[in-house]
Amino acid sequence: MADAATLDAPETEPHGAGHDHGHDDHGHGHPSLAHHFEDLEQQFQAGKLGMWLFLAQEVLFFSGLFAAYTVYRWHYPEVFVDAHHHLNKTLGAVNTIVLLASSLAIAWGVRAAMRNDRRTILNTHVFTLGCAALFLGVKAIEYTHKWDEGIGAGNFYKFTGGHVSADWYFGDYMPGIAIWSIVIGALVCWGGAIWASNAKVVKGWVTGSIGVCILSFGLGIVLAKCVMPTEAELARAEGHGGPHAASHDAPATGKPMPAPAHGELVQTSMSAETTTDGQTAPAAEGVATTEDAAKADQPPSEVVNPEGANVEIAKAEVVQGEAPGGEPAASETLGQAAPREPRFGAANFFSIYFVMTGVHAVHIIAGIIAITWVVAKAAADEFSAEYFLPVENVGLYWHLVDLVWIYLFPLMYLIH
Amino acid sequence: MISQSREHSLLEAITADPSRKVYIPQGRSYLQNPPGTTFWQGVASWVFTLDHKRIGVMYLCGVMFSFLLGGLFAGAVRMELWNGTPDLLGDTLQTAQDNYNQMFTLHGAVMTFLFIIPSIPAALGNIFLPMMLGAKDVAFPRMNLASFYLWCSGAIFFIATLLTSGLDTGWTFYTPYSTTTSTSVILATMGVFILGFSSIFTGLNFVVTVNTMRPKGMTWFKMPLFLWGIYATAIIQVLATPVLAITLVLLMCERLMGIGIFDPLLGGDPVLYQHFFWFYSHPAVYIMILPGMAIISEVIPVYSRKHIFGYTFIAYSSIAIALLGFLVWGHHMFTSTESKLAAVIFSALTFTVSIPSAIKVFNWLATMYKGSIHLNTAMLYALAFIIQFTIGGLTGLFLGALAVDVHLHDTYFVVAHFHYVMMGSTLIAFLAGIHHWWPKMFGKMYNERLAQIASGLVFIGFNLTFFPQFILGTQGMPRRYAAYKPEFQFLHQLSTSGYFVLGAGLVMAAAVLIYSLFRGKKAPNNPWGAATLEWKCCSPPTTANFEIQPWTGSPYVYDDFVFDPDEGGYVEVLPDLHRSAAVPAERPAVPATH
Repeated sequence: MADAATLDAPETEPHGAGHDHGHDDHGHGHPSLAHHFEDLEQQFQAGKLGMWLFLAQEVLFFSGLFAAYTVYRWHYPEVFVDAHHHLNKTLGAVNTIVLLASSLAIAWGVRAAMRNDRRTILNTHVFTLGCAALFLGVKAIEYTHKWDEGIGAGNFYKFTGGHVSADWYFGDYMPGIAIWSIVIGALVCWGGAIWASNAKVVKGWVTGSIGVCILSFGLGIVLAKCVMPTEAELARAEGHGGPHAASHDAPATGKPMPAPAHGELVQTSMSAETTTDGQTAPAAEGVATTEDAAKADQPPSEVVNPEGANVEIAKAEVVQGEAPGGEPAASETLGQAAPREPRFGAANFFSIYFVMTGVHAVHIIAGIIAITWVVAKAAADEFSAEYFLPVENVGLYWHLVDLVWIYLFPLMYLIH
Repeated sequence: MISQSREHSLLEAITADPSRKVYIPQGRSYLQNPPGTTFWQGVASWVFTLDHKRIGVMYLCGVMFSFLLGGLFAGAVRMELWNGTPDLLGDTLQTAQDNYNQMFTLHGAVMTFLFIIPSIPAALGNIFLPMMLGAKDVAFPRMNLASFYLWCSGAIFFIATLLTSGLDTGWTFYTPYSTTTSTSVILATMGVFILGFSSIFTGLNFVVTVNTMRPKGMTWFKMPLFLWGIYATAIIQVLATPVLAITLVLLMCERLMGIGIFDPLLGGDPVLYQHFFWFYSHPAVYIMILPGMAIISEVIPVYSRKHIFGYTFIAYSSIAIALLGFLVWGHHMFTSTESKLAAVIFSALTFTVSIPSAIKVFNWLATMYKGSIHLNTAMLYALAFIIQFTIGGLTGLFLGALAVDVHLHDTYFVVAHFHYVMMGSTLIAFLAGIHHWWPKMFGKMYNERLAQIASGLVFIGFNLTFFPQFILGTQGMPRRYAAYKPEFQFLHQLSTSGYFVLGAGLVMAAAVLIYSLFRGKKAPNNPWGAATLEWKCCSPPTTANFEIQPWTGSPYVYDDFVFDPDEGGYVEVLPDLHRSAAVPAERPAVPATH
């Protein structure tokens, strides 16, 4: 119990006192000790427990997505296997390595903070920032690649067998974005370096960090482009827009892809696209697998519910007054231009993919902001062996973001 | 319980030697700014305050405003149901029914997300959790303020929902209707998403504060039971709310992009939405009721002048309710394609929740047994809580029983059941807490007699409103319908009459409290003779709460407290150092008088 003499005077307002990093000159001794804690140890324990609870909260936030993934993969394994061939394993692996490297660096940075090694804190955190931006660069190229092919989430899924979709075509901008990112990033880095060498340490390191981010983003795009050209580019290189989507997967999976069965796979899991005039366009040539081929001779109405009729879906169909058997849904109900089939297909898989990786990417961006903040504070020399809680907490957060990707990568990219 | 003779001897002792009264220094109220503060500085001192008590007061104003709003929606619903034809809320049958759907949805959503979830933890918990710990603030004061502003932005989204096309999905946002209706589902779900993070941050703050900032001598099992209840609540807030957040993100994506997770027309599964939703919202029921139980566990021993009975059991039962609460969400889906096996398991787990709940009720009764019961307003509300919670809890067993639930599902029986728990218990406990702590929060005494009359009106009005709904439900009146058959009319009219009695009671209670702010007597430090730490500072407290760190004794031993007519309240009496050898070792040898 604190003795009365060490407590604040009654007039002391709590303004300006922070819970883990504020300045408080009330004579507690350490400048980083907030007014309502008794000592740095209590403050450290509180901050660390708070962070672990926050991480528990994050895990449960993601767990909703993983639960949705599990339920649908359990019900529609063939959809997942078919659709995941559109994901680029090499790029996923590159991103995994990038994130693992960043996690190593940030853990090293926490160790450096414990040892009062300011220079290493700064270097490791800037390296982590670079990795984070590289990750986003690769992600950008992956997303663009998908959109080029017409693979978007939900209603934006307009895949028609590897054709370049006019709606989602901005892959051509990526090289420009990459070049400008590298040029601007390098300039900003250079500016930061000059500032840092001219005794404006905090400004220098923060500017340098932002520069490294922009530079790495550009490098990420270059890296992704070099590792694997997009399918749109392949299509242009080959000079035709025919079905070839599986071509980049064939070497990776090492199994020959069967020839697409045009016209018969009306109800394959790759979501037949029904045009507005009632014609049905075969959509799934590119990814037809042996399972699909085996199902091709079944009547469509049976393929609709391969696991047995789903009661909710059946009920909803009745409610909506639809005729069963795969006839187009009433588009007015949804306000959609092209009605989708009332069954789980590739559009749903990519919805899960985009939501999960998108939520993860938002966390990466939040991490970039948090790490930049740590860099600023480290450059201002606010951390010491006694007080390094923010470094540790941001490090923990970053490990969690890394860990989520460690699960996402096999669950999305490496399905069998 | 303190014997009369002991009370008498304590009174004699302090008359003979006033220095034996524990000295509590007075200081400037946290509500006031230093002299010379300009108006705008005063405003800024509230807007940017990091003081947990000021944040709690701001929350209190916010949740009471939401309660008023939700109550007016409820009034619209009840008045529409005065007769069986939907005619009040619109000119045509169609508009009347549409508006009725909006009214019950907004009533449910505002009451649940804006009022009842933040009510006790964020308002009363914020003020009293650090004080019960003898601490100066919660662990993360800035996060605390941020959570209040998150609450405000969530409220703004709700108001935007109201001002645009409203909301008619029911507060549960069930798919596929919520993905197809033309009302402002995105705005409302965005509001709930933000309110969820407000709730998470509050809970996180409380868990850390209780874990790391207990004073020396206050071990886990010497904490006041209010802290146990709030702690259990906070665990649920941290662990369940993020699931709702991601569910609502998916719902928004479903509406915006048609991702086909929940919409059956796109291959999704609407029952998955129900699972996700209730995985949060069933534990959220315990977010609502546990803090209410926590208040009752404080109020009953104080006004019975007797140590709480079965302290350890009450403490563990809070944790048990919190954990079991995570395992029962499936009982909301007995009638929606749940497998028989899952239904039986969820039904059995639902029954187990009644064990810790009953433990609490029996321990409260045992605390009162042979106590010296003072029927102050807070105690009257506590008694109403016990009655209504018992009814609400027992009817929950009917609904947890599979065969009965099939008949009662989506009837007024369900409506009556959860209003008995949510309103008849949580709101009543909230009122008990407000009346119990009002002198400490604002330093004023309210008119006890009028407040007691108001509590009687609330009790009668509440039961008149909701008891007929049990009967309506068993007779087959479905919920969420604006029209009904003529034979239900009498009970509906009883219920609507009850609404007005209840409203009169609540308005009267509010008037009594608000009047006391302006004309009330100055409150003594400890008007009720409570032994928890928040009463060991001046009323209202200073910004730092305790000018002298209070001695941490047992929160429920009233032996050393006696009513001192000079102070107009209770004082703690120190042992006689000259005569008694039995001085507790931890107690300071010299009374801290400054």
